[in-house]
Amino acid sequence: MKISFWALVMSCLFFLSGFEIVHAESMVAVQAVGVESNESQAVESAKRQAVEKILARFLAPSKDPNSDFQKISARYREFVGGFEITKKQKSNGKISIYSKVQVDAEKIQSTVQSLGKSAQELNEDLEACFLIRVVGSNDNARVYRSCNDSFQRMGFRVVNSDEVLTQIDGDSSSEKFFDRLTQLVYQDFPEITMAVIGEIEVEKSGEDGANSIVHLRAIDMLSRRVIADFQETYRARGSNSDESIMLVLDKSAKNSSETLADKSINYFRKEGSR
Amino acid sequence: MFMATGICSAEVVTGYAAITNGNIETAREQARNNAMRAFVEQEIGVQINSQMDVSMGMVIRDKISKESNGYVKLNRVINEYEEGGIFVSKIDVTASDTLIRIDLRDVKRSLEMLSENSNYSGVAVAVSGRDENGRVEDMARINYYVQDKIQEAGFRTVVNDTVRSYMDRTTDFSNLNVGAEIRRLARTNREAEENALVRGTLNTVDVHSVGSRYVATVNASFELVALDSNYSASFSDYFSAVGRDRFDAIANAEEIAARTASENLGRKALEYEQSKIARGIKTTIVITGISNTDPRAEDILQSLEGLRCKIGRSSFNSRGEFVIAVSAPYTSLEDLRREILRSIPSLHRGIDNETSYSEKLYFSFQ
Repeated sequence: MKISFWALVMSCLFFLSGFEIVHAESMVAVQAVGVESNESQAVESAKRQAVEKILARFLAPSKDPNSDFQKISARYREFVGGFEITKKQKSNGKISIYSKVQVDAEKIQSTVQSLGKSAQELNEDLEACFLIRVVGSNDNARVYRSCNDSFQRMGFRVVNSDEVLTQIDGDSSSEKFFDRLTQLVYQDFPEITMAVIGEIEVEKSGEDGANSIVHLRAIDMLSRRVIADFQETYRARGSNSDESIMLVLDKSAKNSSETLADKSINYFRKEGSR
Repeated sequence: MFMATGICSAEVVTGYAAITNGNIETAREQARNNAMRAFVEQEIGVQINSQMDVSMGMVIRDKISKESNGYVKLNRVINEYEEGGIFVSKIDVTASDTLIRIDLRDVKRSLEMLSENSNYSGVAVAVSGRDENGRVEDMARINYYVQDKIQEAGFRTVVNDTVRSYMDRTTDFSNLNVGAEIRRLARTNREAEENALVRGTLNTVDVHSVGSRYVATVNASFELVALDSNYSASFSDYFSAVGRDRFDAIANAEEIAARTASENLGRKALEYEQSKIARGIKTTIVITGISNTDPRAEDILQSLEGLRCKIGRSSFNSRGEFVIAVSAPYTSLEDLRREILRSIPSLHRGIDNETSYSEKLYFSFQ
């Protein structure tokens, strides 16, 4: 299977349409539009939107005012460098400001990481182990990379459990697979303190599309409590079905792992030190 | 400022960067950096004469290029423009030959000292590469470079040829069992008592011409694996670079990818090493010959706590072994094993499981 370079790039930018980004090394130029009843409010709205676009690369977007996403977004002025209005437009008593905003992506990334670190200082055993079965694609390493990135960003240490990984089978039903693995980890692998267990199933849909069903659970293995249960379905369309599978796999892994990492951090913050 | 410190070289140099996703500002910064690096490389190049020194020279060039005060001064930007998908930056720079020579000597000396005297664990390195057609590439230069970058972070380093040759033979890195096998090989084929592995693959995903130059894009997928615990950290990204021909473009992209990956994982290795010093090692103790109804199991836990072991979780596994996850303020598993054997008379050294994917301490209860 040969997948075009642009498909790979597209998968990296899947959630980032509408702005320009390469690596979070320093300032990046982001296009944003603010629509408000006066110009100064519209400018502020555009700035915040630009910051949120970059922030979404590191944290799962959330409307909850208590979420880390909203807390960091409220500090948007700290992350804005230059601001340039490219177009103004008035319509129905509202003014739209089209702009190019310079956003300090590195500072946003370190702010997200420092939130994770403070949680890690709270609990020195904050480790995550991923035991995920991918059905319908051989590229399960792609899913693990996404999970690693999301949890590392939140300050988790990632641990491998190759003895469990090599026992992941493709035959049992989802629920049996989940129960068997949870029991196996609980009984045989006391070194695993938190596990993300579950399944991502992908399949081709129509000529060029692909669907996925995601069901992952983050489990505190010390108390055997389910920290978060993530269930979602996704759809993607690429230029061919292989690309679609890859895109839907990326989307499934990224969204689920970011949400689970976010919820796990909040759980351990509430739990405090063990 | 540095003009007073000794002999200087001045030159007009040109740097190139691929414009990715239309981001001109990033491309401009990268093109200027590229020009500065090329200039520094040229300045220190005259003092480099062997393969090992070439990679060391690359590390020194990275260090000098990063530091804004002293070595290289940007006098003025002569000309900057876009050419197809490439950003070109022509700059006038001056370098202090004296400072660069002193730094070259000092960094070389400190790397050599670190190699022999580092208190940190050793790190094995294995980087494999493939061209755009999936053919294995010679990665000796990149392996030396990553080795020196990790060494710069404070570690003793060694190339693990067993792992590297397995990676060269393997094509399906998306298979999780391949990752598990690499980790097992690294644990069972240690070259020099190393406690961690940095392994990576550099795959060229695209090369195309833009005018008279070429742009290559490389995917870097790297992993840091602790060999004395289950800890791992990963790094994965795409990097583009410009070259005078396709090979030059690929080599440049590979170098940027290797540099970014090894700096990222070098930092993580250091954090891990420091956490080991602060919190001790983490491992699993496996004890055979004791049943889950035996009250002496509780005595063993108490004895371990007496040895300042922090018990995470314990259970009787499906094979009837008593398994205990501990973190303990010891510098090596061997030290912990010795202390347990000395202090808990009912425990005897067990038989190590050679096929195990992770390192554990085995005891039998009598």
